[in-house]
Amino acid sequence: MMTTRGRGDAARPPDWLKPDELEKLSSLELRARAVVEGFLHGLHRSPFVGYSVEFSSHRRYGPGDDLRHVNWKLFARNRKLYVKEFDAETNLNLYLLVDSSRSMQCKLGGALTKFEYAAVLAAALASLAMKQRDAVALGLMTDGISAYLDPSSKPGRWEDCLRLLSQPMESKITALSKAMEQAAVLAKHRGIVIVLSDLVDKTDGIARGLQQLKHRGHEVVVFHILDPWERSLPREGRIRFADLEGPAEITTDVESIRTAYGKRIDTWCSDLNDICLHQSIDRLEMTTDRPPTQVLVDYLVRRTS
Amino acid sequence: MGLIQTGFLLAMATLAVPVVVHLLCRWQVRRLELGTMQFLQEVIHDSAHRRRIRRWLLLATRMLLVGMLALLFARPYIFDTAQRDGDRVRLVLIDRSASMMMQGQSGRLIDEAIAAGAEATDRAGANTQVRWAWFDRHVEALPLGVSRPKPPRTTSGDTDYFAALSWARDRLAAEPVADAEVILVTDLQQTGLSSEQVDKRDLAFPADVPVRVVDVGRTAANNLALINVTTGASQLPLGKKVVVVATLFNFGALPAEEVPITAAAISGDRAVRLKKTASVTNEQADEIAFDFGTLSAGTWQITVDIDYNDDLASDNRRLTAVNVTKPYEVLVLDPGSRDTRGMSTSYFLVAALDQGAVLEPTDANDKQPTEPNRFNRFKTEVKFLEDETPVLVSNPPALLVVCDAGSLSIGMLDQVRQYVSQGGRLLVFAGQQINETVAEQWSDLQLAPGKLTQLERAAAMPFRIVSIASRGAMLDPFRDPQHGDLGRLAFNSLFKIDVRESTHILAWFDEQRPALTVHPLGSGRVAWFLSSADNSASNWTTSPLYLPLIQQMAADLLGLTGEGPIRFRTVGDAEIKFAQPTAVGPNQIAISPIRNTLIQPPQDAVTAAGEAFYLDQPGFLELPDALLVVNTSAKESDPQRVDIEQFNEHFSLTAPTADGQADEMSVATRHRHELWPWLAAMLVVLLVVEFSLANRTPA
Repeated sequence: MMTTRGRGDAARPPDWLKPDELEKLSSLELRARAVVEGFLHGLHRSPFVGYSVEFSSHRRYGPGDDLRHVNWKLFARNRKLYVKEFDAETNLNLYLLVDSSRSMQCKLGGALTKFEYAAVLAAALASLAMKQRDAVALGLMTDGISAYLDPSSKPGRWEDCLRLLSQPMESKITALSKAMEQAAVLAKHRGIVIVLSDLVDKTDGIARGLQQLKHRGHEVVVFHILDPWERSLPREGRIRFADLEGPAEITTDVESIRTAYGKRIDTWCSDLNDICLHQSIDRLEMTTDRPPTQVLVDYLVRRTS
Repeated sequence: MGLIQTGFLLAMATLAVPVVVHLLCRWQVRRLELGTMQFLQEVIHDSAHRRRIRRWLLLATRMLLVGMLALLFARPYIFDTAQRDGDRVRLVLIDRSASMMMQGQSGRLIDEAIAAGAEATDRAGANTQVRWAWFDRHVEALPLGVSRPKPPRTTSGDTDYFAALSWARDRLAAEPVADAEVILVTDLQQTGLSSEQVDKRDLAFPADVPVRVVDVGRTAANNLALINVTTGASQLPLGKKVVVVATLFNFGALPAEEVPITAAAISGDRAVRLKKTASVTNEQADEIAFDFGTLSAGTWQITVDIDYNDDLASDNRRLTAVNVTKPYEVLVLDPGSRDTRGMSTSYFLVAALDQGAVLEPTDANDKQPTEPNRFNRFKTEVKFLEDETPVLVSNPPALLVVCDAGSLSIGMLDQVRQYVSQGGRLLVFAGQQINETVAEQWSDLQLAPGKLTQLERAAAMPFRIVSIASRGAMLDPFRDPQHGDLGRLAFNSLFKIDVRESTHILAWFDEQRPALTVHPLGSGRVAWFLSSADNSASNWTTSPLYLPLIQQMAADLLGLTGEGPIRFRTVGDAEIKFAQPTAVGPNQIAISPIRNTLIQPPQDAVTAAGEAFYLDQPGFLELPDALLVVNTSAKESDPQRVDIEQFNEHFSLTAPTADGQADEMSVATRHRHELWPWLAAMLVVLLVVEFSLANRTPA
């Protein structure tokens, strides 16, 4: 596993990232639904109870408690000492796990490959997090975590992410289960884990990987990215389909298998949906012919509401 | 199973088309890289077997479709065999040639033939369809349902077995039946084996149809026949002797002694009869001449009879005719004066008409040929219009010749019009003096072939006659350029005309300008030559062609060209009935409508307005423009016979195997049952199947 540390220097945006894409996200914020562990005060609820802004509860006074937090009004009524507790708010660790296997190179019905589409989404999310002063971590998944940036909210982290996403990829087959298990180990602090992948792997392996992440206390969101022609085969014609991750080739008439293929994909998506639903994971299915930022905006608005 | 259109089986080659399309579809593929290949593999794997079956099924369906289509156009059929009683046909052909008038054992041969035919059909069973037909040179089918035909009173035709068998062959081909038999009842006369009416092609009589030949004839031991009667020529000049030579042949086995022969010449109410006797040894011929002396002018119908009781009476009389004529009066209208110096316009014309002559026949009794005499057909008289105005009505000529159309006054034109309307013949040379007024007069009186437009003069090149009509006897001698090429005649001027529809153009100058036309007017005829008669527009008067051309023009208008006014025919010949006969005399015959489609009418019938008919008995028939002399065929007099085996061998016929046995049996009929409706239905079903499969199956 390669671990890359961010250098923070300015970098030119890659081709797949349009300059105006991120402007659409300027009015949005990414809030964690679950409790996240951060080092700094921020927008997100901390697992630690402290003396902060948001009142949490009362508890009996104990030796060593700061007398400033004693609720004297309550003492006046009950003749007992209670101290007020407050919920701490901290910053967010956003773990972006981008699938960079060979299957993500598919570009049939959309303008971008699935990887490029995922990269745009990852960059947008990283930008959003950086704006919120949240820490961003980025990992590339193939048959494991092939590259990883530790969580950081330092200036320049976004450029580091872009640089990593723009690197030439190694052509490897997908092993999402193993990659997510490794990611679970690397993501030490609870945060939001966003998986951007086509999820073309065995479903039980995917379920296991997602379970590992959940067990670490992360809030997991899955961005399931498909090419439009993967979701629904072309209308007609005799086509030789080649496997992106193997030597297999199949020549067939699309009309003859279109329906059966569609049913099979529906079944697969339904299985994935069940897995995510079971583990309280948001699964967001999208195809690369939709504008990525629009997909993101829709999701964040829905999530906020 | 058979095929009607076997050639369409070649369309089976198109079976390769679906195969090629099938293969082409396999080659035309796009390549796509797919990330979700594992799901596609699963789907393909699940449906591979089913798709493979469908694909082969689709290919088979398409090939079956193409094959079915080819088969549909080939129109297959099967023979539907059924046991039925009604499909048995007997064609009974009864010989009614002249020889069937001979006496047999119990009456005339034709009566015995009918009895024999009836006897043969009686054995055929109750459900047999019997068709009776007479035959001589032609076949006359009797209406269906006739059980026994009524014998004719007399017969005059000559036998033609080829015609009879051809009719039977065509009849059976048109209505094929399982059990057919032809019963030919005849006297088996040998001369009937040769056909004169149709091509000597192979008869190709179907071998599966037996021909039962019933011989009712007998050997004629005593037959004396007039096989020819002639006057040497059909036209003789007035004042010359008319000698009729009759050829008598003794077909019998014994000599005929002192046989009385009568020759009678009749013209209207004038009649001349001569009698002679002759002795002819067996199988020898003799010629007997009848000298009628000089007969008066007219058409003489001559009949020669022998008074002899022999087996065959129909050949004891023979007919001929002769036209004794004085020269035809030709009146030539010259525009000039008798006193004109130099040659008149009519000079060459009159010279050509006067110099024309035909050979006078030599005396039939002269054994040595002598120098032939000549006589003029035309007697010309010239009237000079500057000197006198002729009166046509009082003494109409046989032919009126106008040397220059522009020279006739209006009054003279009215006379000419009246003359032609009453049957006169007019020959007009356009000349060069026609002005607009005169041209209109000619046209208004319909004496001109159309509208005379203008005189056209040749520039550098003279006008030449470039073509002549394919029909019309006037220019027949000039059809062969070796005998007389009219294209050698050159003319400096001609009159252009716009011809009427009724005008028949016989010759053309360059650029389709009419040169010689003929058109009817009333009862008469008018011929125009659209240039000058003299040498003013051409030097044709010095050409060797001038004389015969002028002669042909005049002779054709007088009906002397072609066959002439007397035409010789044989019983059974076809003729065109242009009009009703003008008169029917005691020796004249009636005509009957055409009875047989085997013999096509003469080609003239294509354009002639009259209907075609057959001459079915000997005699004279006066037509408006000719006299027909109809005799029996001489070959019918020959009583020599053939036996049945020779007859069958000659025509390659199949004789029936056993008398009566097959007739009593119920026949198995084979009907051709076409399958195309079933194929069409199957084609529709296959189309639906193909459409359904194609929408569900990759190619």
